[in-house]
Amino acid sequence: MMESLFLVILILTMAFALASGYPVAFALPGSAILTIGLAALAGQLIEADPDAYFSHGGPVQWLNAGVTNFRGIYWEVERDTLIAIPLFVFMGIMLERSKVAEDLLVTMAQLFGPVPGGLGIAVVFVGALLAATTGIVGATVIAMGLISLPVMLRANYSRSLATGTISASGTLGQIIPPSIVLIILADQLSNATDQASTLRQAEYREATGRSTMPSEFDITSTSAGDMFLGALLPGAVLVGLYMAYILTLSLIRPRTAPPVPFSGAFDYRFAGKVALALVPPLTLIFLVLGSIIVGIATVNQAGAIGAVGALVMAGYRLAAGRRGAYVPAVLAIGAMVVLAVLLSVHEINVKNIDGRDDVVALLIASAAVAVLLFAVCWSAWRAHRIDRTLEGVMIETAKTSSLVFIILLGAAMLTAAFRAFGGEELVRDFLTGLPGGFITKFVVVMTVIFILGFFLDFIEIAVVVVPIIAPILLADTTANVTAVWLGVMIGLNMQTSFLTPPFGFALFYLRGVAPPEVKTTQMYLGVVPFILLQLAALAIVGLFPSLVNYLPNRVYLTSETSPPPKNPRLQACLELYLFEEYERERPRLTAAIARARTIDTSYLPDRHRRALAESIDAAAATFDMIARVREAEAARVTVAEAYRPLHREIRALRVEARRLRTEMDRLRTALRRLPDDAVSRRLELAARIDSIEGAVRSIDARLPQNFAEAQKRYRALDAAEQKARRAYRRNVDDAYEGVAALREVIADAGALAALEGMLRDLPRVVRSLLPKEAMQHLRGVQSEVGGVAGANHIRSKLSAARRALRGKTPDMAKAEREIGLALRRFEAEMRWRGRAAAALLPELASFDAAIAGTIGLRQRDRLTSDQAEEIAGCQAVHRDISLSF
Amino acid sequence: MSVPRPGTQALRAFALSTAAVGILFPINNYLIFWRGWPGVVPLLDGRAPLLSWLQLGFYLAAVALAAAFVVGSPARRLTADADMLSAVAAYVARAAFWAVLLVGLADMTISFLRVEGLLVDLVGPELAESLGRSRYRGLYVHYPLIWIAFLIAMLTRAIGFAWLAFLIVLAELQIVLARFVFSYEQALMGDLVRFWYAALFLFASAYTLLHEGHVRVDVLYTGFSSRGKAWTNAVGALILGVPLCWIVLALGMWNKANLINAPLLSFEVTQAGYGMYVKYLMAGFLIVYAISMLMQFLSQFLSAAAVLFVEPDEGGESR
Repeated sequence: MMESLFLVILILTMAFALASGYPVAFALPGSAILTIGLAALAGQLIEADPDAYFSHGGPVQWLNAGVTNFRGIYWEVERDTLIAIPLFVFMGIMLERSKVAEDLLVTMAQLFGPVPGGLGIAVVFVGALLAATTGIVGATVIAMGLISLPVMLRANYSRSLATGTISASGTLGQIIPPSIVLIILADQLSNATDQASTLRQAEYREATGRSTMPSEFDITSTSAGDMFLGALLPGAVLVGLYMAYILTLSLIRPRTAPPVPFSGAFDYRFAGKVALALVPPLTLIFLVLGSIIVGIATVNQAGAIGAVGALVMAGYRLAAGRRGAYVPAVLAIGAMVVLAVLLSVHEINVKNIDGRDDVVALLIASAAVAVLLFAVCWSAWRAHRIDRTLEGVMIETAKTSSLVFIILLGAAMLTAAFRAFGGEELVRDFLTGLPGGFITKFVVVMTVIFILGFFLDFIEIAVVVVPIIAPILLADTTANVTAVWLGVMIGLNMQTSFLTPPFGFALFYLRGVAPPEVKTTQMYLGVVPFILLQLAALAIVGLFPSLVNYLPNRVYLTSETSPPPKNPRLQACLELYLFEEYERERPRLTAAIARARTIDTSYLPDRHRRALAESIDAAAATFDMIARVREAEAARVTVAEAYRPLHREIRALRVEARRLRTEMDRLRTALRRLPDDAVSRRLELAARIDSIEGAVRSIDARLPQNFAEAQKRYRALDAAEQKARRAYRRNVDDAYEGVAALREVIADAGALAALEGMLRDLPRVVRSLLPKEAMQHLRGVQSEVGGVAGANHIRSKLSAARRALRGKTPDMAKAEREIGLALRRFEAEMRWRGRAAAALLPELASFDAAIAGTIGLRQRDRLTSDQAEEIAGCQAVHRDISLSF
Repeated sequence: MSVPRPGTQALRAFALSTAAVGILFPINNYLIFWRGWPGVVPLLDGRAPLLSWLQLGFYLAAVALAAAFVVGSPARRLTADADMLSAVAAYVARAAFWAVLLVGLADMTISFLRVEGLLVDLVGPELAESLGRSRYRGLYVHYPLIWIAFLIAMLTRAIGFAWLAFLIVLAELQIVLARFVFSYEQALMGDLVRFWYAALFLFASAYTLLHEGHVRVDVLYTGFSSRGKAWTNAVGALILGVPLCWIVLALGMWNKANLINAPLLSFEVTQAGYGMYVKYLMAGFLIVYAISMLMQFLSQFLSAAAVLFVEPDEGGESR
């Protein structure tokens, strides 16, 4: 239809604008505005309605949406992650300009050179490290091309291998954290996750008729920190593959990667040089990534640490050879050490300074911070004075940040235009219409990204393509992939694309700095093995999503903010783990339960005795409950096998039918809008509507008859399993709660005893006071008693006494009686609690300890680290949940 | 020196008058929504108050002045005008930098004192009360500082905004130290980073365009002749760049509720209560962006036109 025509115009305008070489940041929004304007104009002229050629809404509304998106980049607090970009850019450029990066490369080459293939391995290693510091493909490739290519060529490395290694290592910056690509992908993916979640909820409602989707079916979102963690292992795999390849090649064909003899001596001087070149950058990277991984710092804060660290390193590197070159660095390190030691022995909270220790700690900390800031300022002063490095770094940072963000802004506008002309629905329909489920969709999307990678830089792809395709891929319930995994796969894919001749960006950059005797064909040849390695890495990560998902999950589950074991999203994995654990622990558990039954509880008040007995019974029943869950599960799984293909077929048909129906609605609206005299057009539209109606009917006819039956059966079994699981959960909760509650009651005996004086004084005090004051006093005592576990029955008597004093005719006698009863109850309570504290409490504690890790796990505040590891491993695997839809 | 061609004169007149109207637009916007002027739009109805005519007169005067300048300097080169427009863009960015620097520091200090309850002791309860209101703080703290910033920008020549890159690092470092050493965290510290970071990339954009920092898809572009490149830049600036600036300006400021005017008029602050009171200024960043980019696009247009229209020997002198 007409809006599709304008969609084509939009894409052509954009393609033309991009191809003309006008800056991307303005080509994108410019073509969006141009096309929206054109559509409005055409609508006004032809249909006398500027909104006519928009899928819905009008030009002003969409342009407004565009400008709102535009402003949203920095306006919304949720997008704060992006602040990390200028910080990391600052860090990377500072390391590069101050020659810290160059030192690293040269020293590593000298160190590894004498080993066969060592120089190549050193280049890969440094590439990975530099990548970790700059994260900008062009900068890394150019820097390494300038520094290491001459060295490798002089060492008689094969030209192909040398150029291949450098371009491949240069692109590592995409995938090895802290990379800017990952930050932008995280930003885009977290938006996409929200959209995908909405899609999935709609699907759930449509499929089941229930209004809310259980949270365990929700999509796992992502953040920049998660992306960094997720990319860490795949990045390591990639670096490992590169190194293994170079090593193997140097062993099979030594002429391509000969050892490089080192002219100097391997003495202490050299060792010192190596340490100086290697240790600071490594420590910085360790600090930056480590603080994110351990979860103590946000990505932005880590970025600031990195930037300041780079500044301090520049401070001594730029002043190399002068007297006192290392003073600021030493001061900074000293201050950090003092702070680390101080904070490990004494925590400081400025809002709560109390006592001499706090004051002393505060003074020391302030002094250390002052020294640190002094060292930073000194370093900055040096960077400012020496070759105006600081100024260069700042301008470069400003330019790089601006180029990244202005593209983000522009793409925000383009996305609005794309939606305005129904592009999103078109892509969605195309992708969902593809046969073969998730795999086909995924492969198609990845291929498109791969090809786009020839022409566009990563930012453009991340901000233009990802928002459109990611929601569709994430919403898929069969694959049920996590956003982190998708992001890492896209990152790896783009990286491969940038390597691939003839258009790979990395090759262009390297061509620009390589000497003319290196032929372009040699470069192409050299990069081929690395492309294959990349594809291998893509396949590995694709097949083993745990490589990506494990670390983020594990850090999340072991962090301060970890979810309690009761969290519904954890239940599937928790039960998987626990049911095995029950199997292993069964003898110990049964023994503990049997022993618990023999505990002498005769002196307990009835209610406690019964509760404990129920609790122990519930614990004993756990195994039956599990057996029931297993049975129900097995029953469902048997049916699921036969049901799955049927379900898939039906879903595909239904999706197709829905797609056709929306298309039909659209055509009908268009038909209504047509002026009466457009006869031929009307006929054409009517014919198309008819043919679609026919197609919908034929789909309805193709729906297998046995489906309703099969679906009912499967749903019943699924419901039965869910019921069994709920019963199991309730049962273990009861089992543990009873024991824990009794323990608490007994343990509170001390608190109760402390009230003794007050309670015994009560009759005298009440008698000496006016009724009103007595009531006041009683209320105070009441709340004291209420604070003690299991003392409600005493409290209720006190409350009765207070009630007796209320009103116009206070009944003092009755009040005293009630107080007497309360005292009696108190004495009884003290008696049994005293006895239980000695005899029962240890027994209960050992029972509690025996069941805490299994039956009681759901009631705990957090998982132990072993459990968290297990659960993280389980959560890291993508689970097919399509049958629930 | 070649004889000026009428074509280039028209281009100059076009670029300069567009620039003048662009600068005038926010000023008229201020008159309309802050001072209650009627604006130019009522003229379409025919029954417009005198002030509408006056505002239209401003625009006409701007165009006339631009035209007069062009006619009065027939020998002036396109590149000279391009440099002038670049200088205006640089001035806008520089003034905006000084403004966010001064306002950022001042407002953070006030917000900090207020959060810690020290403001009352320092300036008395009455003034502290007033400073707690975003409108008062905007009018009597931010606005004067912004005027000062415009003055400083006249007197200095340094590229200010690049310092924001370093200032962001320091502002974030302040968060790190306060949080990890002193267990102290306040919303205002994050607000300062956000304030400066948004300013960094928006104010740096014009400079980045001037210094070829914005990424191009250079598969074909690198192969173009200098004339080919000039065509790309001239046409691109005119139909891709300039409209973008106009859309941002027009849609942001067309009426009271638009997304630049609304926060500015209401002195919008962050939801976080005890943060800085500068969020409304961040809406104003878009004006800075749009105006500085408009100047820079027009400058780019003239530089490219210089290559296209002027004899080769002169074209060589242009950027």
